[in-house]
Amino acid sequence: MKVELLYATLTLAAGLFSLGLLGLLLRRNILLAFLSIELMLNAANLNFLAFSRYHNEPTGAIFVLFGICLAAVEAVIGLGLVVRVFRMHQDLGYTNLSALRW
Amino acid sequence: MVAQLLPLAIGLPLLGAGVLGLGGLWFPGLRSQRNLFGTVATGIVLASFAIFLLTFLNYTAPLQVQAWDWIVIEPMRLSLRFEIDTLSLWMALVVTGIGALIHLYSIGYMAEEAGSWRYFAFLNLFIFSMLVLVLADSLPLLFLGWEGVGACSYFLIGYWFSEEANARAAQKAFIMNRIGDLGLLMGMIWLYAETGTFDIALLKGYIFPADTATGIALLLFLAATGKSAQIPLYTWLPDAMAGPTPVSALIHAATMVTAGVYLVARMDFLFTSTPETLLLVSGIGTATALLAGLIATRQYDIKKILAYSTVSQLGFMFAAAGAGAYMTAIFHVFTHAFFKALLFLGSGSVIHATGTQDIREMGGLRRIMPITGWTFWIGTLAIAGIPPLSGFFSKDEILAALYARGSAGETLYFIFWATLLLVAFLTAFYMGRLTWLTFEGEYRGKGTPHESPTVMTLPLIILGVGSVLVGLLGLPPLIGTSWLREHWLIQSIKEPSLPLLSHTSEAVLLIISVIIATAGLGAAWLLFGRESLSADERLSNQLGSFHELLNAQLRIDRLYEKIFLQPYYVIADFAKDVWTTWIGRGAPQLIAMVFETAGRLFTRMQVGYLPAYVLYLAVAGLLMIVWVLWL
Amino acid sequence: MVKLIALGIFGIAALVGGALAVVLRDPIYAVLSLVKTMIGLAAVYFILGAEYIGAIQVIVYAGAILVTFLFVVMLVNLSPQDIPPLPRGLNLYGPIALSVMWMLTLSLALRSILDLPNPEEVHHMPTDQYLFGTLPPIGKALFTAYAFPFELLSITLIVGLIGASLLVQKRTGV
Repeated sequence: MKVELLYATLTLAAGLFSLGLLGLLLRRNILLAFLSIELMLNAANLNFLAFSRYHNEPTGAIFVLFGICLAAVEAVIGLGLVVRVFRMHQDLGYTNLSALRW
Repeated sequence: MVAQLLPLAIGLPLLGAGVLGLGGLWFPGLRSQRNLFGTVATGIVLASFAIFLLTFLNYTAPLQVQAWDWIVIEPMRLSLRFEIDTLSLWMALVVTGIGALIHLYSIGYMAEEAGSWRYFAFLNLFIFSMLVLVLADSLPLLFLGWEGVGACSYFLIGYWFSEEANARAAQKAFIMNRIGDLGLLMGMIWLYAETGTFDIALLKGYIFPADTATGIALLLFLAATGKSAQIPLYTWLPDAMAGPTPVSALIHAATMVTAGVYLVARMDFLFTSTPETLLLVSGIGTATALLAGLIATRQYDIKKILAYSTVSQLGFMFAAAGAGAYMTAIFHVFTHAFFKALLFLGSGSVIHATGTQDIREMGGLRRIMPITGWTFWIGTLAIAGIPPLSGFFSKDEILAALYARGSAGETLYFIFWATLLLVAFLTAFYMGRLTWLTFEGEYRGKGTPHESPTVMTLPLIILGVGSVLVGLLGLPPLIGTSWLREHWLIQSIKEPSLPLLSHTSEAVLLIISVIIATAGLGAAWLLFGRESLSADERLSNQLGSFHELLNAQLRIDRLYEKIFLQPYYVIADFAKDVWTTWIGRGAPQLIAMVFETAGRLFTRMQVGYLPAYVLYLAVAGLLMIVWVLWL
Repeated sequence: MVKLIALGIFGIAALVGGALAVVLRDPIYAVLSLVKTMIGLAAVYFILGAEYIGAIQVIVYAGAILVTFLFVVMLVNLSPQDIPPLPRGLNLYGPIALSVMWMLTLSLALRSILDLPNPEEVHHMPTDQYLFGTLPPIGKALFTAYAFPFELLSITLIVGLIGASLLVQKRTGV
C-alpha cells in the first residue's frame, strides 16, 4: 500500500506537469501561459511533498513552503509585467513580443 | 704516439673550415689577405696528411679513434668512432695528399678572387667530410660524411652562384646525389632491421639471406651510382664543371666520386654474397664507361672532356668491383686520383692562361707553358695506359680481372672485357685528341697566354711524378708482386677468389692493352697530330648526326627532363592547383559556408515566438531525461 | 486503501481542473478551474499528511495568487474574444503528443527505475504516525536549519513587492 501512495502521487504530478506544458504550448496568450506555469510549479511541489512523506522528513515540506512563497513573488512580478505589456500593446498575444529576437 | 695525433688529423680540417669561414665572415678586413686563407687551409690539410703518413709508416694493426657517444637509444648505441684500417688509411692518404696539392694549387688559381675565404673554408670542410666518410666505422657516420661531401660539393660547384647556370648545376649535383642518398639511407636501415647493428666490423660476420643481401646491395649500389656518377645518375658530374677548376679536380680525383667505389669496397662482404648484384655493378660500370667514353670524343670543352673521362674511368672501377676485384678498383681509384688531378689542374692552368675552355681556341700551348704542357702529356699517357705509367697497371689489372671471370665461364664478363677494351681505345683516342688540339700545333686563340706561377706548377710536377711512379705499387703478377694488393689492402678487403690466369694469357693481355693504348693514341695522332683542328671538323662532318648526338651528350638531360621532370612539373602543378583552389581557397570557404549555413539555420530557429522556445525546451528536456534514464 | 481512493478522487479533480484551465477559452473560467485544481491539490496534501502545507496551499494559492490573476484579467478587461482559439492539426496534436510523452516518461519511467521499498521497512514505524507535515517539525526546521533561507525569502518577497509596484506605475520613466 504505502509505496503505491508515492507512485500514485508521482503519476498525478506528472499529469499536472504535462498539462501545464501543454497549456504553455497551446495558449497564445501571456496570461494563460502564466497560468500553465503555475500548474507546472504545483506539480513540482507535489513531487517534493510525496518524497517528503516517503522519507518522513520535513525538508521537502519546507521546500514546498518556499516554493509557494516564490510562486507568490513570481506571480506578482509576472502579472506586473503582463499589465505593463498590455498597456504598451493593448494586447496579450505573442506577436508583439518578439523584441528579444534580433 | 701517432695514435694520439689521429684525432687531430681528422679534426684539423673541420677546425680549419670553422676558423677560415668564421674569420672571413666576422673580419671582412682580413678578406683582402687572399694568400692568408689559402696558406692556412693548405697548411692544415698538409698537417693532416703528415699525420696520416706517420700513421702509415708505423702501421701494425687497425686503430680506433673514439670521439664520443653520438646517438644512444638503448639498445642502439652509436659512437662517433673512426676505424683506421689499411683501406680507410689508404683512402685518407689519397684524400689529404691529393687534397693538399689541390689546396696549394688553389692559392694561385684563386689569387684574383675576392671571396676566396669562403672557397678555402668549404675546401677544408670538403676534406673533413671525406675523411669522416672513409674513416667511419659505422654506416650512420659514413652517411654523415656522405651527406657532408654532397653539401660541400653543392657549395663549391655553386661557388660562382651569381650566374644562374652555376647555381643550377649545383642544385642538379645536390639533387642527383639525394636520389642516391636515399638508397644509402634505406639500405642502412634495412641492414639495421636485419642485423640490429650499424657497426661495419660486426656486419662483416653476419651471414645474410640471399634476397636480403641482394636488396641491400642494390640500394647501396644506387647510392654509389649517385655519388660516383654512374648510369643513371651521372649527368650531374659534367655539369659540375661550373665550379672553379680545382674544385673539379678535388671532386674528380680525391673526394666525392671515389666515395661510391669506396662504399662498394667497404661493404665487400655484402656484395660478394650476391653475384647477381655484382654482375649488375659490372654491367652498369661497363655501360657507363662506354657511354661516357663515346661522348668524350666529341666534346669541345676541355673540362667536359675530362669530366666524361672521369665518368668513364669510374665505370672501369665499378666494372672491376663488379668482378669482385675490389682491391683492383681501389688501385684504380688511387692511380686515377693522381693523373686525373694532374689533368684537371693542368686544364685549370690552361684556362687560367687563355681565359677560355674551348679547345678550338687553344693549340700550341706546350711551347708557351712548358711545365703545364709536359705534365699534361704525362697525365694523358697515364690515363691512356702507356707502360710503365700508373694508369697502365691499374687498367690492365681491371681488364685481367674481367677476363679471368670471363674465362671461368661467365660469358657476360667476357663481353664487359671486350667492351672495356674498346673504351680503353676510346680513352687513348679522346685524350690524344684533347692533348694534341690543346698543346700542339699553332695557337688559335686570342691574347698572349703565359705559364702559371710556381704555386700552380709545383703541384703539377709532384702529380706528374706521382702519375709516373705510383703504378709500381701494383705490379702485375707477371712482372712482380703487387705491393698494394698483397701486403696492404688484403688486410681489410676480402675478395672472392678469382680464377688464376696462366702467365701466357697474362702476357697476351698485357700486350693487347699496350697495343690498344698505342692504337688509340696513334689514331689521335694521325688525325689531330698531323692536321690539327681541320681533321676534327672533317670527322664531325663524316659522323654527321651521330656527332651532333654525341656533342649534345646524347641528350640524356633532355630525356630525363621528359621522363622525370615533366611529370614532376605536372604533379607539382596539380598539387599547386589542389592547394590553391581546394585547400587554400576552398577549405576556408567551406568552413565559412558551414558556419554560415548553421547560423542561418539557427537564426530561423529564433522565431521570437514563445511556444517555439517552449517546444525546444520540452523536446530537449525530454531527450535529456530519456538519455539519463535509459542510456 | 482508503487514502489511495481519496487520492484518486481528488487527484482526478485536480487534473480535470488543470485540463479545463488549458482548454477553456474564457480566461475567467480558466482561472477559476485552476482554483479548483489548487483546492484538489490541497486535499491531496492533507491525504499525504501535510496539513500545514495544505492549509497554506488554500490560503496562498487559491486565496491570494489566483485571485490576483482574476484581478489582472479584469483589469486588462480580457474577454473571450481576445483569446485566440486553440490551434488545429499538427499544431494541436504535436504538443499533445509531446505532453503525453512527458507524462509517460515522468511517471512510468521513474516508477520502473526507482523501484523503492515500502517506507515501513525503511523507518520501522507505521506511516500513520508520520509528523513531517505538521506545524511543530516544520516550525522547528524553519527556525533552526533553514533560518537563513527563510530570511532571504522574506527579503525576496519585499523586493518582489517593490518591483511589482514599480512595474505597474503609470509613469513610464524606467
